[in-house]
Amino acid sequence: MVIGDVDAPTLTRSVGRAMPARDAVDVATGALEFLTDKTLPDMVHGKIVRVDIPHGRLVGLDTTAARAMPGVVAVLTASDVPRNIQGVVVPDRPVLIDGRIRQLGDPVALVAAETLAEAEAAAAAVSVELEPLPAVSDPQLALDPESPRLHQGGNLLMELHHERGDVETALANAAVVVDEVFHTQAQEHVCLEPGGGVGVYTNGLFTIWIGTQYPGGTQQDVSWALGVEPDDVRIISTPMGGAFGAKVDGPVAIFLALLAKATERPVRIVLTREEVMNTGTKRHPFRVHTRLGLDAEGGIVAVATDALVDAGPYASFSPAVLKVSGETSTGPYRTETASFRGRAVYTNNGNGGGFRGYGVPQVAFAIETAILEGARRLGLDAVEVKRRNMLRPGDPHGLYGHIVGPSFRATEALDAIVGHPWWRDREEWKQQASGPWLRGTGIGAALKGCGYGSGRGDHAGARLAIGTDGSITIWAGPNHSGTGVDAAYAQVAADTLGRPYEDIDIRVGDTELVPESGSSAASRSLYVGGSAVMTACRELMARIDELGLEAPIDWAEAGRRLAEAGRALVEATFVAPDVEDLGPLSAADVERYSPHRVYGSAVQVARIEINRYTGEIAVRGVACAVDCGVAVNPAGVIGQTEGGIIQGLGWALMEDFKYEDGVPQTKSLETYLIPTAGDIPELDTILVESEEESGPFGAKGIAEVVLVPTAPAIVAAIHDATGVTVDRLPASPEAVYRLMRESAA
Amino acid sequence: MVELATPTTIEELRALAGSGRLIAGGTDILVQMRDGRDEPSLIDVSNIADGAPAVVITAGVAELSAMAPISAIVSGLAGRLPAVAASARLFGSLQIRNRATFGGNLANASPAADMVPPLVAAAAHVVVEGPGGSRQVPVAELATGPGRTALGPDEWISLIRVPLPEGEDGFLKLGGRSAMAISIVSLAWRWSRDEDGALRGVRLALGAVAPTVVRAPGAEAALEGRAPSDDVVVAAVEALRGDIAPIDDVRASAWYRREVAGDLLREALET
Repeated sequence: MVIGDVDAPTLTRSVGRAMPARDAVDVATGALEFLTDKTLPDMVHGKIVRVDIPHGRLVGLDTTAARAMPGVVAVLTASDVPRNIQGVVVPDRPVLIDGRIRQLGDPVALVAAETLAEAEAAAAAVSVELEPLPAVSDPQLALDPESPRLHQGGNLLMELHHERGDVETALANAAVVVDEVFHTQAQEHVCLEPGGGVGVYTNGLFTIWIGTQYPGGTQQDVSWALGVEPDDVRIISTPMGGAFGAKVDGPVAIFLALLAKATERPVRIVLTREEVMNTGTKRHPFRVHTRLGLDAEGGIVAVATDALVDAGPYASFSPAVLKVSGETSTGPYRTETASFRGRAVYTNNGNGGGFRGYGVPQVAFAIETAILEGARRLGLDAVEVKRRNMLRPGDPHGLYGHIVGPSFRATEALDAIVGHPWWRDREEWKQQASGPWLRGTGIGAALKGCGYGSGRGDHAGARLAIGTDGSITIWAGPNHSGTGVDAAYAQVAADTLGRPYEDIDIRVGDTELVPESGSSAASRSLYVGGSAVMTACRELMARIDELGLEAPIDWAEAGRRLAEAGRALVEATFVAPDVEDLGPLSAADVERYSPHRVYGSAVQVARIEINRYTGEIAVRGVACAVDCGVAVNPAGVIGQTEGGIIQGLGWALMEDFKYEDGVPQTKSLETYLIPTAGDIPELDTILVESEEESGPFGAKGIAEVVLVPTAPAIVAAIHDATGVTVDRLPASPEAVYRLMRESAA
Repeated sequence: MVELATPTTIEELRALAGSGRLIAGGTDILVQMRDGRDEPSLIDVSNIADGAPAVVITAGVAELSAMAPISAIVSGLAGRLPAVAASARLFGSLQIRNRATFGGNLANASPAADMVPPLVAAAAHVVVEGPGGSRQVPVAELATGPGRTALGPDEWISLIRVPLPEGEDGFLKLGGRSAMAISIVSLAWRWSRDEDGALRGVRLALGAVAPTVVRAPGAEAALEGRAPSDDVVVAAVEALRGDIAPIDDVRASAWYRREVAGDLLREALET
């Protein structure tokens, strides 16, 4: 279903039509060659030697035996790395360990051999002498001055603080104050294709085929570590078997470059599932202390949020994640008074990094559940409390006070969900419960910014070539990390040029050909990259206009004449606009907090059944109304929404990456459970459209926000069914059983 | 390197028995080998053509092939052993059920093995073949600890003999998700009801609450000969919690296993 205030005439020939992913048939038939399957002549196989303790010192490393093993071509250690330090935000991570070990699985050496078996045997023959240190596994204890320091500057990686208005006075005057602590757990991305790739070094140039959400960033990582110019490194990064934030940073491209240079042969590394589980990034675990003040009518008078974030051993994207948590800590709600204190802390647990939602799900679970509790104490309906406080276009943002842009449609999304049969008929459905199953229904809401945020210079490029036969090729920005954004790029180009979708050839994910465009992340690919495509197409149309051709345009003639004039290649850049009305924020605040001009939002209803004897939860239906701007490719939006709900459902109910003293306890998919087809409910997506003036054909980015309301909606449904309030995720059978037992006692 | 023998007849298997680890569907052992378990020599029994048919029904007993895939056994049973069918429905995934066998699930001797509790509750026996001929062993006595069985190194399980239920039977599994999950607790039961509602011939078996699948003698005694009134159910639930010795692991706490096992019995009795 589509609702909204978009005029029908703006729907054009391509935009607004459901298009399949451009590689869908190849994926479905197995014809697609993933980069980790790539084979080159004379290729050697790389293997990473890793330590098996979470914290300690490397005191001895002997590669003599490994070098003498059959088939071994190279063994590299820290001294072979020209610049042995890396990190996307903070350079705090050695490429290969030269002293301190901070994570189980930290790499100490690289092996290349003729076969994978020989590489594995040689890796096992590398002799490593370790001196273990006590693991720092509790973020609160990590802040204790007596705790071992993981980095020179101490264990506090970052602290972010902002207050708007006088929170303590507002809370003191509130009719009720909900004062609760919420806990969320680490989540693993579980990409179907684990990390890895193929690297080649010839004539001083590196070519690396690797699944990365940010080819330009990976190029920077490699050029820095190897001490070469970025132009000496070419990253080719599609196709990709899933990303979700797992493939924005990480050392594998550097490993490939080091081994390719040392062996002067093509080299392939494919991470095992266990390596990814042990050493890959995770969704950050949060401890969120929320104080929510409501007046007697349910109006929000203040929200105070204190978030303690387990960043793990290295910074990765933690500082950026913390910013997004702060910005979304007041949810899609109005308030004039709010504060946020966030602290990201180093530990020896899993490495917190980028993960779809990027710091929003943790604080959304807290504010949504606090509203549930506040409404209960006031005797009000929680959904009515949400509605009366919902942010509207032109409102000042709850924490920062900047003005929310005109395309925001959270209220309309909430209305759509309140009108959905699964909400409307919830009491009747509840009465029909039978056997061991109790029934409940709940609603969750969330917002998330589109793009990197203000003050970040968020931009993307596009390069367009028209051939002398009139053909159109566009090398477009943020690459296709499994999202199918290339289809939407083609739709935008087709309609800007007035040509059929099939005429447009889109190429993504190659630093040699695609202009620097930032990452496929931050719900920005279509919003920023699609705008760059549109800008390039408009420039081509302007050049064709100057030729004075008569309509209908003869594209081949246009191509020939532009080629003759040396104008057949168009380069364009789109810079995402910053917040227009900063409200009380200063220019320095903009840089510090990166508030967003454009937000997407989503509201979901979940209907669930709970086994009264065991605490098991079966989700029967989730409907999502998504405030997506104009849906350029409705099939893409629905696909993203359904995938987001499933990932959110997994986080809500079962996914739980556990550590004991820094040692992973759930390092395979036997113990780390994700939803199977049997756990996935009936799904329904409602597109709530509006025209975002700064997006291509009115589009916004929604691929993250659709994940966020699922956990709060399920938690509200659990409350509806049983009266218990889940304050710690996941809501596993044991957790729900325990709450029900406590409530009965 | 792993040596693999692929006998195609029982005679060939008999000649090879003892020279390596038996493997049928391999749905567990191959995963364990990937995890580092050393098995230098495997004997794959999945190509044996002259084994028993998947299911033979004779005089109140279902004879199940130990080497047939679980999915073939369930379709062959056509609903005759409801608890076994219920357990099979929750066993792994369809792909795993198309590979995995009863024999493998029994010989693997996991405390959480899903196919075992219904067999223990049914007082089933296995037929064990070896150099000295065949012998019959109660399923309840086959596993001696996690991963350990009463089988000799040159013995194999050929058949499972399961008495058909005279009254009711059933199976409940609690896992971390609806499919493809190792049990947190599982419960199988058999009983009959006489005219005044009293339960007779009560047999309960639980998975994942002790080193092997176990009976619950206290709970059985609390139910035997009694109609499941509220008081009787409460007493049986408490007795069952005392019958078992669960542990903490990454899937659940011992506390939850002990408590919820009682509630599974409650669910079995009340719904």
